[in-house]
Amino acid sequence: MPDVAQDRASGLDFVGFDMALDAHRARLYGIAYSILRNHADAEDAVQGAFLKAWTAWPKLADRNVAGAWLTRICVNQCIDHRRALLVHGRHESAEPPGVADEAHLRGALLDFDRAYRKLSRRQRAVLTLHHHHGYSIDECAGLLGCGSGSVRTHLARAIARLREEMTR
Amino acid sequence: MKKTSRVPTDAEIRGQLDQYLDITNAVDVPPRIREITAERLNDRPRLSRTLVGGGAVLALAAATAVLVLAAHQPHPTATLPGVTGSAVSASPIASPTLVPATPSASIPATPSASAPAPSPSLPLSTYDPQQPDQVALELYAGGGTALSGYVDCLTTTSGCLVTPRLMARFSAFSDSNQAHNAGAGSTDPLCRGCQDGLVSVVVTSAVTSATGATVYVAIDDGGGPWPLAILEMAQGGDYLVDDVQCVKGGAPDPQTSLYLVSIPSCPVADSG
Repeated sequence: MPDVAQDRASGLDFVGFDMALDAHRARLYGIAYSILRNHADAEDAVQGAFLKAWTAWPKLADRNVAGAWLTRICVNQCIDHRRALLVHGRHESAEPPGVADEAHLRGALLDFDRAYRKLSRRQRAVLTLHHHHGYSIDECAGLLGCGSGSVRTHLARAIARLREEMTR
Repeated sequence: MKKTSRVPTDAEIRGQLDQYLDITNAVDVPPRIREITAERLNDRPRLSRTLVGGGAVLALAAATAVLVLAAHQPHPTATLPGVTGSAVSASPIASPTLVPATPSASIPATPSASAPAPSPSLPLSTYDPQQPDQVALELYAGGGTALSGYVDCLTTTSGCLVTPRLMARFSAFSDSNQAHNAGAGSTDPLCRGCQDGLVSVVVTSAVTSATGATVYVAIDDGGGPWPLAILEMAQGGDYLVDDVQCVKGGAPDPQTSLYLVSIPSCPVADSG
């Protein structure tokens, strides 16, 4: 039986954090993979996000909002992930998608995937958060740390870019 | 790419997008992610060996990043390419040879011919704190802090060249975001609208006064450079960054100060 009180008393809320992770682990990984479109990068980003979250966990006053809080950390970790890659001189565009990454896509969706990969990380984040996970424009803005207008711009540009790539 | 004879409608695009995101968001969680627990996260040294894998290597590389930059390059030519340019190398034993900037950087890394040869192992922290342009560049590359966002500034304060006021602002910004369901992964306010990290940071000019300096930089995330004004205060002969503002009409725009409640992105073009 988890001893929540003991964890809290020690300042290390292992149980609470694990419960939050378990509740959102799959969803966060899906978001990361949708943004990064690469399993290795998604794993690195999610691990980095979990590390940051664990560090900041004691400062999260309202554990009821842990899901949104973790989502924000994860999304921003994904967007920032390229920075680490760039230090190593690796380029996202130069890294071809692995066979495993595309194995589950067929036909037109494979073509769509190639168009989707042309989008920026932030555009992918907005698309997956808004279109798939149902976050409102304002909620997306809160998750991404930008204004609602910026989210609308990202959405419009993302759709326009997809249309352009699908027509090309 | 599938060739289509007509322009797809919004509904068609959204239909494919829905199918696509259904698939990409339903991928199996790999064991490495499933096995992460608070206990293992709390044991960071062990985690770095057993779980993080490539991420640990990246973190180590970032921590030991070497700046190969003309240390006393006069503005306006001081540059800090972040990607493939000549300034940042991840290897602690990086060659001093300037590597030509290759890909999409819209501002090429072109150190002036008169710039002194870079030191073979000039670490990022060897900037001159009495040179406001170097302080501005250090803000973006120093110790790898900008590579992982401003939040790292909160945990590696020794490498952050900011005033106590700005450091407090960072903390308040972070705490405020947490109160609004945000957290440690917040967008870096030093970029002011950048996407996917920075390609380059270029000092375009600097103006000094008795109390401080304003360093104008052009930062680029690959979508075109946009100007920012780095406001620095002189303290004991050294410069510390106190604010980052957008540029309007060729001057800092106080309405875009980091101390305002809402921190807007800066326009790509100077709207002045």
